[in-house]
Order: sequence, then C-alpha cells, then structure tokens
Amino acid sequence: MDYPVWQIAATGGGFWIALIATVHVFVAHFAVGGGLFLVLTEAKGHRENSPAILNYVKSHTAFFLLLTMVFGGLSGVAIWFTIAVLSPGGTLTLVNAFVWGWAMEWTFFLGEIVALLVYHYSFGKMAARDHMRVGWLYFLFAWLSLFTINGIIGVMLTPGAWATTNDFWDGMFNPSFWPSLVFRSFLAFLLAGLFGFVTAIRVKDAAARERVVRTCVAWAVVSLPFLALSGWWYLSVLPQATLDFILRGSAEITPYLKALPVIAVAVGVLALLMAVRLPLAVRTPVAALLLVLGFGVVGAFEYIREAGRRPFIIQERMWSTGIVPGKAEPLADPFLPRAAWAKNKEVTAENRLDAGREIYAFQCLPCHSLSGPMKDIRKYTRHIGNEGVASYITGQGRIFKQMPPFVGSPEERDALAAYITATVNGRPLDKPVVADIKTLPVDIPAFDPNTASHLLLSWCTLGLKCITDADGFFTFLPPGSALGAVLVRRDVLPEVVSDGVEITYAAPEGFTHPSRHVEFWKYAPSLIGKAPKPDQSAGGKGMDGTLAFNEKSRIFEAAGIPVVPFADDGTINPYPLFTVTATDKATGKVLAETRTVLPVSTEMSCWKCHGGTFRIDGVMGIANPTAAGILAVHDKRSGTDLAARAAAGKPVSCQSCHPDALFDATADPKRLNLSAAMHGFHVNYLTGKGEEACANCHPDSHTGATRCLRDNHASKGIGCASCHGFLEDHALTLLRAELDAGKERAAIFMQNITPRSVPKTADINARQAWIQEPDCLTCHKDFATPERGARAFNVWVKDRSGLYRSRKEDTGNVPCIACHGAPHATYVANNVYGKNRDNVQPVQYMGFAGVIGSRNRCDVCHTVEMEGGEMHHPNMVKP
Amino acid sequence: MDPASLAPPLVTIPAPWGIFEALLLVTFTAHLLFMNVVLGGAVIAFFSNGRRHSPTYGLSKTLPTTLALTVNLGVPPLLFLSVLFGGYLYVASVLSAIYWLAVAAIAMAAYYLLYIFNYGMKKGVSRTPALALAAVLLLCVSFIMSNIMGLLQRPEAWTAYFDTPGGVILNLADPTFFPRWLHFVTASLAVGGLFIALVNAKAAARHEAAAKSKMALGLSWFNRATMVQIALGLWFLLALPTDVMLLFMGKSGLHTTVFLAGLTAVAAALAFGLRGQPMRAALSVVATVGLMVGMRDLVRTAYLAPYFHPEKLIVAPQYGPLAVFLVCLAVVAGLAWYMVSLYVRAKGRV
Repeated sequence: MDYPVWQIAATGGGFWIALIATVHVFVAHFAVGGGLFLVLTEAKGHRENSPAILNYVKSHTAFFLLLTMVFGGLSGVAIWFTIAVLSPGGTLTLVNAFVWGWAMEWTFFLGEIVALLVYHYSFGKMAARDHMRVGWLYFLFAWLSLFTINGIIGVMLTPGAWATTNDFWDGMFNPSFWPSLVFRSFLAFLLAGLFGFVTAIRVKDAAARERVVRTCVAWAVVSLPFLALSGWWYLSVLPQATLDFILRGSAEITPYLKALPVIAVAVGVLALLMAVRLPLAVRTPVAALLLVLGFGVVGAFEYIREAGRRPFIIQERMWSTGIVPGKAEPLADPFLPRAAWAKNKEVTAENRLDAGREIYAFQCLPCHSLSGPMKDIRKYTRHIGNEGVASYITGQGRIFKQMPPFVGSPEERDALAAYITATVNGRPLDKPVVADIKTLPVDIPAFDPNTASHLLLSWCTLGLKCITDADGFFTFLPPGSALGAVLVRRDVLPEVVSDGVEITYAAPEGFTHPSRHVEFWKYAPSLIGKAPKPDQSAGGKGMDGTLAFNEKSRIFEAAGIPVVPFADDGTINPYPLFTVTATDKATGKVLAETRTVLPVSTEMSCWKCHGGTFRIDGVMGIANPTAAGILAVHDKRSGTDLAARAAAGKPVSCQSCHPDALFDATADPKRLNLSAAMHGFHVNYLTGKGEEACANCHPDSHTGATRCLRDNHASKGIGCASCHGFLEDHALTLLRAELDAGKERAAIFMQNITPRSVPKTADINARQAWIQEPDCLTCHKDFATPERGARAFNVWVKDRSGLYRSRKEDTGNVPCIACHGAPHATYVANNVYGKNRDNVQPVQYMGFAGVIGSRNRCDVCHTVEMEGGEMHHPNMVKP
Repeated sequence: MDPASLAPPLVTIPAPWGIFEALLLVTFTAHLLFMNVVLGGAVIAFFSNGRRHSPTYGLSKTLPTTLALTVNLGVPPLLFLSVLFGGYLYVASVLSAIYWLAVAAIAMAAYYLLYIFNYGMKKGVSRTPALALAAVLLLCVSFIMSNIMGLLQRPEAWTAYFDTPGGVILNLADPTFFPRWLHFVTASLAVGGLFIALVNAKAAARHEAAAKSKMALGLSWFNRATMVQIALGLWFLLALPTDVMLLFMGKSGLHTTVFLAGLTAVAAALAFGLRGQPMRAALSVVATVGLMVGMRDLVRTAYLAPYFHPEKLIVAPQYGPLAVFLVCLAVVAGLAWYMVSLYVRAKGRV
C-alpha cells in the first residue's frame, strides 16, 4: 500500500515472476554445474589425450556461453526488475538488509564473466594448465554466486534468528542455508549432465561421442540420489509450521510435491537410456525430453519453495501483498485511508465498485490473475455472488494459510466482494431471498370441554427438523422427524394413559409421497447402508402409522417419519399438519384427536459460498451444483474422494466419518463431531456477523421460506444469540469440548476466533452438541418471567435428561413440551404460514393461543376448579 | 493530490548513505563508459560497415563482450541506487512497468543480435540488419532507462498513475527528457568513436594504414559528437527548473564547481581529440563522465529536495559484510587481471 500496483490484471503478478524465475534458475544452475562439467571434461580430454573430447568441450563452451552468460545473465537481471515492480516493498527489504551480499554476488558474477570469456576465447590457444585454471576459477565464481544468492533467497523461507536480530550473517546463514546449498549444487550437477547431452549426442567421432554421452549420464544419474538426500535434509530443517504447510497445509503444493520424485525418477531412467548407443534421431528427442523433465524438477522445487512461505513474501515479516503484519488488525482497521496510492479514501455508495477495484489491486492482484494462467480469480469466484466472496475474504488466512488475512474494514471487504462479483465476474449483486408465502388454512379439530373424556397433546420433538436434500452427493440430515404424544384422561385428578389405547398419526393430503421429492430412497443403501421402502424410514415408519409407548419416557413416540417440505402439488410447505388420533384399543372408539405440525425444511444457503442456487423455486433445497461444489472443496481440503464416490453413485453420509450425537453416530471418534466441524469451520468465514449468520444455514431468515423461529421469544425480539450465542460463541462452545477431548483440529478452527458474548475463550463453557443445550431456567428463574435483556447463553443443561424436550413438570407426568409447545415454536407461536398453525392444540382446547392451562384454564384436564397452582411447577399461575 | 503523500516510506540501510553514494557514482561511471562503447560502437559499426578500413569487424568481436560487461557493471549502480532511492526507483518502475520489464528482454535480443552479427562477420557474411536492429534495441534500452530515471525524481508526475495504472507512463512531458536522453546518446557516439580510436592507436602509431584510418574515423565521431554534446548539454541545463539550474550557475559552490570541472574536462577531451591524442582524450572522458555522473546526481538530489534526501534514511550499521564485499571485489579484480593477462599472453600480445 506504500507503493503503486502495476494493474495488469490479465496475468497477475505471480505468473511473470514464476516464469522468469523458473527459467532463470534452470539456466543459472546449469551455469554452476556446467562450469564444473566443462573443466572436468576438459581434464578428461587432456588425460585421455583425446582431441575429440576437447573439441566437444570447446563446442559445448560456446553453447554454454550463449545460454548462461547472455540468457542467464540477463534473465537474472530480469528477475530483479520484475520483483521490483511486483513487490517493491519486499524487494527493498531484501536489498537494504543484504546489500553487501548482493554486492558480493556481483563481484562473483563479474569474475564469472571474465573467466568464461577468457575460457571460451582462449580455448585451444592457451596452455592447458592455464586454461584449466581459468575453468576452475569460472566454476569457483559461479558456485560462490550460488552460495551468496542461496543465503538471501533462503532467508525468505527460513529467516531464523535474522527475524529478530536483523544481523546480516544470521540472515545469510539461515537455517536452510546449508541443505539448500547442497541441494542446489547437486541440482546444478544434474542439469550439467542434462545440458551436456545437447551437444554430446552430436559429436562426430563415434567413440568419443559415447564417452562424453556416458560422462553426461554419470553426472545426471549420480546427482539424483544426492539430490534426494539433500532434499530430505532441506525438509528436515524447516520449521514445523512451514513443513506442515508444505506437506499438508496447501492443496496447491501437493501436486508438485508428488510430482517431484516422479519426475526425478523419470530423469534417472531416461538418462540411463542415453547410455545405450541409439541413433541420433532417437537420442535427440530423449535429450529434449530430459531437458523438459529437468525443467520440471527445477520448476516443482522452486514452486514448492516459493509457495511454502505463503502467505508471506518474507516469512513472518511481509505478506505477499506487501503489507506488513502487525501494522493493521485484519478485518477491522480501514485500509484505504492508509493506502498512499489509493484514490478512494473511504467506501461510499457511489464509489463502491471503484474502491473495490483499488482494494483488489493492492490485496488480490499481487497473486491473482483475471482469466490468466495462474490463480485466476474468476475460477475461484465466478460461481458465487458477493456475499459468498465476502465470506471467503473474511476467512482467508484463518484456517488455510496460503492467503494473508484481508486488511480492511468490513465495508471495504464488501466493496471488494462487490467489485469481484459485479465488475470481474459480471454477475448481478446478491439480493435477499424473499419467499412469497401464502397463508394456509388451519382446520382446528373440535373439542368440547364438557364432554371430552380425553385430551391428546402431541408435538414434534424438534421445533424444526432440517433435511439435506442432496442425497445424490451426501447427507447429514436424512428425512426422519419425531413425533411425541401424551393422552390425558380428564378427571378431577387427571392421569396420563399408557395402556389400552392406540395413538396413530397421519400425514396430510399431498404429503404421503416424500420419495417423489427427494432422492434419499434412491441412494439410501449407500448413504445409510439400508434400503427402506419408498416413503418409509429405515425403522419402517411411513407417512402414517402408530406411536409406540416408551416405558422409559412414558410418552408415545414415533421416530423417523420421513416428512419433507414439498407437497405433491409442487408447493413448498415446511409445516405440514399431521393428524394424531387416540383410539380405545378395546372398543375402537376415538378418544381424542388433534393436529400438530411436523416442521421440516431444507433452507441452507450453501450456494452462497459453494455455488449454484436453491433447488426449488429459488427459496429452498440444495441444488446439484451446490452439492458438487461442497464435495469438491471437502476433497481439496481434507484429501477425501467424496466427489468421485458421488459420481459413482455411492454418496456417503457425513456421519460415516464425523461423530454426531443427533444420530448417536460415533463414526471416527478422533474426528470433530459434525456440529463442531460445521460450526467451527464456517465461523471462520462468517465471523463478525449478527444473527443473520445463523440464517445462512438454519431456516431462520426473516424473508425466507421457513422462518423457523416463530415462538413467543421471537415476537419479543429475542433471537438466536440470546440463548445460543453468536456464531463465534456457539462454535467455541462446541470446539472447546472437542479440544478438551483431545481433538487438535479444534484448535486450528479456534485460533482466529474470539467470543462475542463473553470476554475471552477461556470463559466459554464447553458443551456437547444435541446433548447440552441452553436451559430455559437460566432466564426463567423459578419459572418466572425473566428480566429484560436476560441471556441464556453459556449455561448448558447437564445431559439429555435436562433438555427441554425431555423434561417434565413436577408430577413427572407431562413433558414441558406438551403444554408449552415445541422448541422455537413455544406458545404463543406465530407461524408465517398461518398464525395458529403451531397453536392448534391451545386453540382447540382453550379457544385461544397460549400455554396449555394458562389463564387458569386448569379445566382442560381437571374437571373441577383447581386452587393453588404450584402443582406442576412454581409460578405457574401468573397474576 | 499532494505528491508528497506518495513519497515511499523511509527504510533502514546498513551503512552511512555517503558510502553508497560513492559506490553509486563510481560504478555508474564505469557502467556508462561500457554502455557508451556498446551503444556508440553499434551505431558507428552500422554506419561505417562496408567502408574501406571499416572498424566494423573489430567492433563485431568486441561488442558482445562489452555488452556482457555493461550488463554486469549495471548491477552495482542499480543496487546502490535501490539502497538510496529504492522507493522512488521502484515507484517509477511500476509506473513504467511495461517498458521497464521490457529492458532485459530488449537487451537480451540486442545481445544475441550482436553475436549473430559477429558470427556472420567471421563467416564473411555481413548481417547488417542484425546490427542495425541491435543498435535500435540498445537505443530503446537507453530511452527507457532515461525515462524511468527521470520519472524517479518527479513525484509530481506520479499522480498520472491514478488514471493510467497499467504501467505505460513515460516521462516525455518532462522538458528535460529529450535533451537528457540525447545527451546520453550523443555521449555514446563520442565514447564509441573514441574507443575505436583507442584500440587502433597502437597500430596507428606503427603507421598501419588501416589502423590510422580507423583511428581517424573514431576521432572524427568523437570530436563531432562532443561538439554536439556541448550544445545538448546547454539545452539540458536550460531545460532544468530555474532553481535547479541556478545551483550550477553560482548559487551553490559545490554544484558550480562540479559543473565547471566537467566543462573543463570535456574541453580538455575535445582538445585532445582534435589533436589526435586518443589516450589523453580517453582519460579526460573518464573524468568528464565521472563529473557528469556527479552532476546528474546533484540534479536528482535537487529535484527530490522537497520530498527526500538519503541522509534521512535510518542507519543500522554493520561493517563486517561491507569489508567482506571489498575483499571479494579486490580478490575478483586480482583474479580477473590474472586471467586477462593469461589470455593476453596466450594471444602472444605481450
């Protein structure tokens, strides 16, 4: 930001430096190894008294001079010119810190030139001993040149003590100096052999030709094991974090890392092939191929070394954007006012895209191209909108370290995202998803308090069951909702009926064929290892059936009802009303009947970051491109083959690896549980947001098709964060538990996340997902109405028995949920699909929407007027 | 926008700025002398090719080697300039990135063309287009470098970046640009001519006709170019901003002394040239170039005065590496001398 940025968007900066540097390094190493090759081969010629070999050395010298001195020398200067343009700050740091090193290298360069010119122009004219001396001096200067540059280059990757002392010698003899020097020396000898073939195969004298060709073979083949050993040594001296990044941390390095030994072995094999006396027509392409492969060795090595220090240009000292870490708090302090070369100093509605362009130039352009050969920004972003791009920017440098963190304010981030989306990708900017919701009729069953013998209370255990309808790709939430019910025999002292009755449920019309709407049944054998009949769950539950009495909970229950939010008429309805009926087994008489919603949705906005759109009507469902995008990134980051499996028709359930208490899936217990993994990973990309962050994945958007938070809390403005914390808090509760369980991955997710609702991470109380949830009594102390601003976050129920859906009132007969309604739909609920859609039972039994028995309506169960009111829980009767 | 706000940040350097300044002046002088020989030599080789007693064949052998040394000797001044004015140089290089990055490629092409021409001459083939193209390419390099070095010292021109960020800005609007560049180019013709005279001086002294003819040709180029050079120098001086120009007209003792010394040196060089004394003329030219390099540096300092002076740089001295550098330089120079003497001995010239 202290320097202007060359705005040549098409190629991006990285391409030029990669091209010029790799080509230069290729030739420059040849310049070193080739020097030794020349003088030793000349010695061989003298020793064997072979004019043919000496002639070969002479012709090879001419080739060597034209390649190394002209191309090598000027491409070396070109690197300097290039880095000065692409990274002025980084270049100046190296120039100023190591000016005397560069100056020493210049003297060796001068010595090289003089030696090579003398060696070349005096070949055959000078006394052999003198000529050999000049040759040795050439090699000495060339190797000293490598020696010096090696130190300066190395400090960028392994600064060692230099990072704190700034001492020249600490920098020159940095931790990777010696292994790198040895590695590069053997690389130089390898290349000397490979380049040697170029001229050797054309030697006219057949016997001499075979001798020099075999000399080249020896140079190449003998160098390889030493190259491998020094490469190993090189890796061993890298700091652990750098080594981890190179070996595991960067998906972009991996292919090069894998390719390097393969190419090296191929070089060895082909070089050996050259030892066989083959015609020139065969040897020429093999020699050319060997040079290409040699270039591959150099290119792969240099790429790994360069990429290994990402996101820094100089390790820990300067990011590849030229910005110095520590000078700014990422994603906080505004960037533009501090960027001398920015025209826009603050983001406004008018300059948003232009400000974004400038930020792009400073923070993206140094590495990313526009449709160019390297790191094409369009490739990374064209499938997503600005919200997704903004999330990526938020997340960069947090978990994956190849990019530095974004430096700038959230407004600047959003301007950058808008620029990338609108200008670079030509996409319209994201607009909020607004679902057109039509009110649905609610048919409330009749109830006569004077004649009714029973009262049937029924609920969905979850306030909203989410499904993942991307079954051809993955699942972590297959269809399967749970229904609970209690039947109360009305009396002076009512009792909960457990025997002699049958309680059944039935889906509403149009909801009996979920298999027509999702592909779960098609892929179930692969996803869950079972093949349930269409429209049935693995446990055999269909769209209508019977609730079984659970002796332990003393509740009638039906789990696994495979309801989906799609009706057969093509409409979306996340709140289908199921009919629940209690029948006397003996007489067949209907004792009671009611209705309850089995809320279900698939409104995860994965597409915002993973591409695609909602699958159905633009408001719901995971579309195939989105699911494919998710698998691709999972494969890239975690080394899985999920995309290939899905393509082969064998998608997997996420719980096949990740433990998940929701399904009691233990899977691989060393991995993060699914909740911790999902929240822990994604919070890094969605940090800094309000409750809208929750709505990206949970069906809670105020304009979405589900709007699941529909209870009396919502109507009072109490949102997700009051009980669950903000996304950061929420994720940290889960990650801390995993960290306590010894899962190191949690620490990686946690390292850049700070809590919002408590001062520091240490204040976060760990919890188990699905087992430990907020406790209603944290705010509702003694069941009283809470004070304004009360927050339930960070106090968790001890175990499943403490969950709202498991708990019962003080007599131990009736679950809380039966009278108060399902979580997130507690009475009085206000459902956007019809005000009383979640309030059917209160309205049915009391004529108004409220907690069952509220307003002293004890008569819904009790046939006489009751006094007191502390029977079920304290403070039951409100004044 | 205030150009001062674009001033690059101050950096830390490992020795007092004067050391770098001295090294910059000395090494740049050496670079310029070699550069002049290559550029001027290529142009003269082209124009005199095919003539009787043409120096072109001799030049065709010398020019690639001289270019190699020119490139090498370009490294230290660029390095020391980067230490002292790096931020300014790199800003200018970003503003002119396309041209700046082309320099190495153009120079490389010229280099190969000189070899192509040389190999042709050895075979008795005159590949004049290669030579002509090489000369044009070398002129391009000088044009670009002159542009960027001019842009370096004019932060007020940098604001053009905000409308033209693609690296295609040139310093052509600077009234001093053309006299400055032509000054360098003409100097090249003069030095190139003098070089021809110099290498033929010994043989000419032995009254070898060809050598005498070549020497006369070289001196003729030198003398005429130097006369033009004096006029161009005057134009350059007058094109400078008045306050800068006045520094050399008595307002500053140092500036005026350097200027007058330079004038004296060039007058001496011309006098020796006209008298047909190339060695003396060459010594005067070395002094002239050194003094002109000094003057050029004083001009840059005066231009940048509102923004920067190297003395503002923070110094965190460490002299050990400097000492090692000087030792390396001495050893390499000694060994280079040794190798060249082996070469000369081998050619039987001693």
